[in-house]
Amino acid sequence: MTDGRRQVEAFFAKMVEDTALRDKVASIKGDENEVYTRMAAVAGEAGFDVTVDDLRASRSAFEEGAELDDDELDKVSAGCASVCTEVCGMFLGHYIGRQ
Amino acid sequence: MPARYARLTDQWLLRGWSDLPFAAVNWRNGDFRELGRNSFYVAQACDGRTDLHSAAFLPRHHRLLDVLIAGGIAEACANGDPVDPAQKYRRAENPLIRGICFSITSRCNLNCRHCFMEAPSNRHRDLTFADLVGLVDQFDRANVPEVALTGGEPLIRRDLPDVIHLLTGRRIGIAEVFSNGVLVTERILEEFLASGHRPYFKVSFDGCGAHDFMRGSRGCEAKVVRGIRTLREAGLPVTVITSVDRVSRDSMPETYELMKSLDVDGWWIAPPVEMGNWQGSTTGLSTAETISLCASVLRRWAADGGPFDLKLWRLGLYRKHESGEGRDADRVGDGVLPAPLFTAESWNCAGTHSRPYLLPDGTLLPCSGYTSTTLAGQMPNLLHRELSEVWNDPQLRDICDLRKRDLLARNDECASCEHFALCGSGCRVFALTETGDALARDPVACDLFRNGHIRRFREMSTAR
Ligand code: SF4
Repeated sequence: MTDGRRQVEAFFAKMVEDTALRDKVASIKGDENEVYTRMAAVAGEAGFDVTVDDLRASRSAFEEGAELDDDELDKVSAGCASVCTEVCGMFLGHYIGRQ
Repeated sequence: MPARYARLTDQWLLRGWSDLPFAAVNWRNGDFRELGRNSFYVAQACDGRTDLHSAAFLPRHHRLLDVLIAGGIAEACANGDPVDPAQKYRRAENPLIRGICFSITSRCNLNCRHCFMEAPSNRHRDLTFADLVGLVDQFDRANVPEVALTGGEPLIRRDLPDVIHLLTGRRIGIAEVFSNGVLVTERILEEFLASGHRPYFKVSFDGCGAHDFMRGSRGCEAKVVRGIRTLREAGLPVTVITSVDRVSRDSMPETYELMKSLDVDGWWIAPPVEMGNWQGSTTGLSTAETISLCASVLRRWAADGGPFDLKLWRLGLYRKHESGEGRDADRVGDGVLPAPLFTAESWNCAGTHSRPYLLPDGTLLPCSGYTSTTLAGQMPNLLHRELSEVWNDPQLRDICDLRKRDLLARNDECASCEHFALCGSGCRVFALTETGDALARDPVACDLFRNGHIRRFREMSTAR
């Protein structure tokens, strides 16, 4: 991963925690150049060294590869059991039977 | 690209805890999805006003949005469509609590010979409605998504409709109700249903002709059967729990037929636990007698095509057999619930880890099984301390965060045992009450596994 790509990743990671920053980026409208220019400026203000080229390159890299952690997809699509059955010695065994 | 808006569907809440930062929780049915950072990012933007096609989102986020929508967690909407503020992300500074088994009263209308919390003696102080409000507020602050109501007899509270509304207002689901069934009425069920709850009722019934004797109250057998019918007519799921001893065992064939005719979802049978009123009882079944009784019930159930879920003491939970097309072989197996496979890294008990038990005097226990143990006296009380603080208490964490590796380190025989993946050294309460050492192997589970009873029961469950 290039330094620029790393900075873009860090910027997106920051937006996970900072909804005001996300809102600022989400509100940017215009043609592609305009959007990337203003987005790079917002990233700069937030302390990330991101250029328009980094943003463009990153986005196309994501679009081609669009890698997602399988684990992440699995977690969202499946629920999880939380209580075992056989060994539970407590007859109350709360929640057993709902899973 | 045109703008794209989405919002969480109305049962889903975004929550986080100190040990699990992001999750989507369905407070109505207990569905629970741990979220990674990317999916959380997208779910949080499902607020009806954030353009998910804007520069703040990448193609991977669009894919995750599709997954959230396909799973019913989010839905497409127009810009500005409202989202309930309670659905927004909230993080609690305590470890995860998936639910609380909430004893809302110590009072009971019956006088059961085996009551584990000695309810008729009113040993544990009762909770006022103001106490309940304080406790539910604590649950809310600790991000508890659901409770199971128990007692005493939870339906004995005159203010139960207020309790239901209190929980509903805090978006806390009522997953289950443990009841003796006598006080079930259409009116009280309507209170649950009108508030959008469909709790799983676990109703006690101790055998045809034996129930009144076990429950210390004449005439309650007919009342509980009527209560079960009322529950089924209301379309609510019912599991019947039967405590069996030498007095009631002969009634099990007749009771089995009654369960079938009542169309229950599940029937659980076990001897009472050696706690509370049952201590010192002289009519308890031996292990051999319990196994023999459970075997006869299982044979009958299997020959009958598995008409309901069946849990036989500590000898397995056997699922109702599906019939006809669409039969799900994995689920049925045939009849055996896919068991958890323990590894050294598994939690010792997933229930104890995140579903504690709250006594009606405010004492928080890792599990109801500790009610009569010496440990109960050392546990924190929520009438004096805050849940999100005590759930970090080292004394509780030592029990709740126990892993199987801690038991393996103590029990050499388990480390080399072929049954460990299924047995996991058994239940801590049994280890404590039978040996005095909570980290020892559970001698009852050990006997059932090593003497081949569990295997034999699994085989029997598929025999026709
Ligand atoms: S069967 Fe006995 S030795 Fe084997 S894991 Fe269970 S408790 Fe340990």
